[in-house]
Parts: sequence; structure tokens; C-alpha cells
Amino acid sequence: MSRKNDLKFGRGKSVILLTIVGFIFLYTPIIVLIIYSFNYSRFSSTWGGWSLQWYYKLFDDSSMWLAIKNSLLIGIVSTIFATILGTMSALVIKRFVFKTKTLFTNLLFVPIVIPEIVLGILLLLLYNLIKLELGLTSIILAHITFSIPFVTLVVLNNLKNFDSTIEEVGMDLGATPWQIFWKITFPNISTGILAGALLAFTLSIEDFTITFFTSGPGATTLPLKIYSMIKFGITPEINAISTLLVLFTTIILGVMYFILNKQEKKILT
Amino acid sequence: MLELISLSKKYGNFKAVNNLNLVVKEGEFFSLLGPSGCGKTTTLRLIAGFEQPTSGKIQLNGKDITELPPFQRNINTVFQHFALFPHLSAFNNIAFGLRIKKKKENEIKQQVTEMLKFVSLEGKSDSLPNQLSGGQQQRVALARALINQPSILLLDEPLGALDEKLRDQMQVELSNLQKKVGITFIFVTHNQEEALTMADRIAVMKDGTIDHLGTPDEIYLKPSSTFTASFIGNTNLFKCVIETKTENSLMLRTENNFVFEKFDASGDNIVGKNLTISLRPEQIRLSRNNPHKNENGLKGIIKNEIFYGDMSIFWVTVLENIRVAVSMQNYVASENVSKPFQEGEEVFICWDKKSGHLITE
Repeated sequence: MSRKNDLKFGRGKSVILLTIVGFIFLYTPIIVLIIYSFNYSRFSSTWGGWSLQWYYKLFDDSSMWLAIKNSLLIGIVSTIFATILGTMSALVIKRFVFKTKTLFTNLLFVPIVIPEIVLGILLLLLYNLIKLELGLTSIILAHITFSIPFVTLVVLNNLKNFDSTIEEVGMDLGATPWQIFWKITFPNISTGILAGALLAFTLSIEDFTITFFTSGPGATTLPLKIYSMIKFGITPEINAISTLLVLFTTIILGVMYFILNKQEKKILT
Repeated sequence: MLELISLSKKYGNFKAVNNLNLVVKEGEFFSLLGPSGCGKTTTLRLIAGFEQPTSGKIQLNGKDITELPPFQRNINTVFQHFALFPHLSAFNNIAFGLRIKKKKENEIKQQVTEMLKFVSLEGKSDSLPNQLSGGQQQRVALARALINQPSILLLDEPLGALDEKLRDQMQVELSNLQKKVGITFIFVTHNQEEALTMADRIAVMKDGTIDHLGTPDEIYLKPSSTFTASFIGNTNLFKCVIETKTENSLMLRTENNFVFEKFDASGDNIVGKNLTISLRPEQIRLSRNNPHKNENGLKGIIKNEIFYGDMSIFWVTVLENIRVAVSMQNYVASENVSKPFQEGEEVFICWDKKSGHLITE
């Protein structure tokens, strides 16, 4: 760990000022959005006092509930598969030595860097080609595809702190490879796997672009629903549902941060 | 009894272990000693089963175990950095092997408690590895291996991760422990002091083979090669040729044409043969006076003194450019230490004609 020096290098007033400006820039829209979700007035241009009416209205809307249900279903199923596959590929990258390892690793991360819209179109073309009907299944498959690399990244990062000699110890003490995975490897990387899963879930819940291309009739997710509502103008209901979405993802990311932080402390002490 | 028969392990073209033959007796404290890259750890991993030999056989009590995976060998290992399971308490670390064997829980409890007591870790059973000190972790690692009552316990530089004070203490503890349990220990180290103090027999390894196999005394006093001679302790090596020979003495001529006498009644040596003589720094003394009758002597100048506290090493230049190390105890009777010899002083280096070990290569 680096030690603090007395040179005040990169710790001037301008740095602090820029940081504050950056934060204002980042968070103003979110704060405005949250405040206006409680606006009594129908129009966002005027302030009509505090109210929860848009939230009530939201929960009365059955199509909104269907979208939430779809989003959760897609999120849960795709997270389970992406977590298993992502963890497996992380273990392969860590353990195996093979000629095309670098290529394999880089290929795995391509979905992270290529534009989402491209990935969406590609998946749509693929589904057309294999005659897969668009619907919940096609969205789930798409979400698994783009979540895997994220899970792999998180688990791989966790594996860096994992000393694989303890797997050898397990073998030395008579454990079979299967027992070693469940009694030694898994308990030590479970936080990484959980963090990866939470990330995958968040990504799935909030994804719009790829879902837009791969969804079919009756498979509207929450972001798609919000988008269709915007077509009729920005109503305070949109503010309300967006606020809930922000709250939801913040909680998940908070939990993830807490888990990883706790583990880091465990390693350091 | 463990037998390694013509054991070889190649990585590409590199021969990590090269046609190694070795027999380790039952109940022995055996040490594989050598510099890094000599193949000692690879040998250990071959015995444990983590690596498969390219050729050769490993036999344990007459049974061929070469093909067996590690979890089917009755051999346990203590790893270099202990490699305790970070998510398990000391108790559960030690219990791991028994749990795998599906022992009854009350039996496990009894055995682990006994083992904790055996390694003096009562009261630490619930501690996680990161809450234990280096020495305590070391003992958990030992207990975790010993509880399985292996035929052989392999130890891979187990003291390497400890600080020096603790290491000295653990050396004594380990060797007492080995006597108590009576299990064969095979101990890998690059630290000659560890090997000399603990092992019954030592195999000095070089380039994947055994350079010299013997007891600590034999290896230190009668090394079979210049490599072993210089690897174990410090020594001065001089190449010489036998000039003349009588019944119990040789006249040796060094490359610088210095001729001196060496008593040798072995009769194995013939005139004209090339030899290397190894003279330990403690076999040579410094003197301002001429050497005694039974000594060889050479005039030289003290270039450096290296002070170690209890002793000093004097580097003396003789015969123009040859550096010789001479050690001397620093006997401090009172507070005013007067150094017996000064740097730059002209002295004789003297050694007994019986001293020195002849190496033929």
C-alpha cells in the first residue's frame, strides 16, 4: 500500500473543486427526477406540492405489474445461468494453461466492449436464423449472453486473492476434486460469485437496448414499458417508476459493495 | 520405506529431476537440500503425487504408487506457506482429513482435541488462520497433516515463512515432534543449517540428481564433491596435484606452485592425480609466528575482517591473489574488546597437516 507523502501532489484546491462539479453534474438529474416524482402537478414544469399519488397510480396499473413480473423473471433466470457459466469460465481462465488462453479471455470480454445496439441486432439476426420465436426465452438468452463476461470479470478478480495451493492441500488430505470444489474453492470465492450474480441481476433489470431488439409480443420488461410511456410525454408516473428503479439498483450495488468490502477486510487483517 | 527408482521429470527440454534413485528408511528424518532450481521441490511433489514423473517408479512399502492420485496416497504434505483453509477455524482445518474419511463426529472431536493439545494449541480451536501467529499457523498445518497418520510426512520449506527466532525454536520442536510420532519426515529446504540440525540423513541435490547422500557429519566433514563442500557451510577450495607420496602422507602442489604436506593413509591416491582440497575456515588459524612443526603455513595479508559478533571471518590474501577465509571466535572477557588482528596486518595462516578433506572429481 502506498504511503502518504507531504508533497501535496495532486491534492490542490482545484482538484477538490473539479470533483465537486463532477458530482453535481452526475447527480443533479437524479435528484430532480426523484423530487419531481413527488410532484402533485401533472406537468413537470410547475411544482404543485408534495404527493404520493403517482406512486399509487403506478401500483394500480396492471400492465406495469406485468412488466415488473417479466423483468424479475428474466432477471432471476438469466442471473442463475450467467453466474454458473461465468464462474466456470473464470475458473477455467485461472486454472488452465492452454495456447489460446489469451484469445479466449479477450473473446469473452468482447460483449462488454461492443456497442449494445450491435449486440442486440446480432442476437436478433441469430434468432431469425435459428427461427427462435421472440419472447421471454429470447430475452433470457440475450441477457445470459451479455451477463457472462461481467460475472467472469468479478469472479476472476476474486480468484486473484485465492491461493490455489489450498486446493492441493485438499487433495493431499484425501478429498476428491468434487469435494475440493464444494468444501474449499466455493466457500472462498462465494462472495465473488454472489457479487457477480448481483451485478448480472442489476444489468438484466435495467437493460433496454438489447431487450428492445430481442423482445416479442407479451414480453415487455420494465425499461421497455417506461420507454413506451415516454412516447405519450413525460408523465410524473415515469418519474416515480424511475425513482423506484434507481432505489432498487442502488440497494443491490450497496449490498454488493458491502460484501466485497467485508471480504477485503477479512483478507487484509 | 520409500523408494524412488530412476525417477525423472522433464518440463520441455529441462530435466527438473534426472534419473534419481533414493531409498528413505522408515521413521527417518530425511532432508532434501539444495539451491533453488535443483529439483528438490519437484521431487517432493512427485512423491506427493501432484506431478507425474516422465519416467521411473515410486514405491511405498514395496507397493508401486507412481500412478496413484494424491488423495489415494497415504502421504501428507505441509506446504511452504502453510496453506491453511482461510474459511475454516483451526479445529476444522485439522478435522478436514477426518471429515473426508467420513469419521464419526464424536471421534473427530476427540482426535482433533488431542491433536490440538499435542501441538500446544488448546484454546485456539475456534480461531481462524488469520487470527493466529506464524508459529501457531505452522503448528495447525502440521497437526492437519499428522492427524491422518500418514506413512510419510512431506515438508516443503515449512520454516521458510517464519522469522529467524521462531525458526530456531521450530527446528527443535519439529525434531522432537518427529521423534515422538515416529513418522518418516521428508523435509525440503535450501537452508543448510535447518538440514544439518534436524535431519538424520541429507541428500544434497544438484541439477535434478543427488550430489551427496549422507549424515550431517559426513556431508559437512567429508563432502564427496566441491559442490557439496561449498554449498554446506563455507570452505576454501584449492586445486592441487599429487607431487610425491609416502606411506601415510602426500605432497600436494597447488596451481600456484605452493607445495604442502597432507597426511593421508588411505592409499587411494597415486602420484600425478588431480585433487581438490577443502579447508574449512575453522580449520585454519591466524598467527604472527611461524607455523608449528605439524602445520602448513603461508604468509599473507589480512584484507578484511567481517565481524559477526560471536565470531569473525578474516579474508587473507596469500600467494599474491588467493583469498582465504579464516574464522575465529571472538572471546570477549571484558568490555574492552581488543581485536587480536588488524586489517592490513601481515600474518601466517596455519593449518594442521591432518586437516582438510580431499575431493576427487
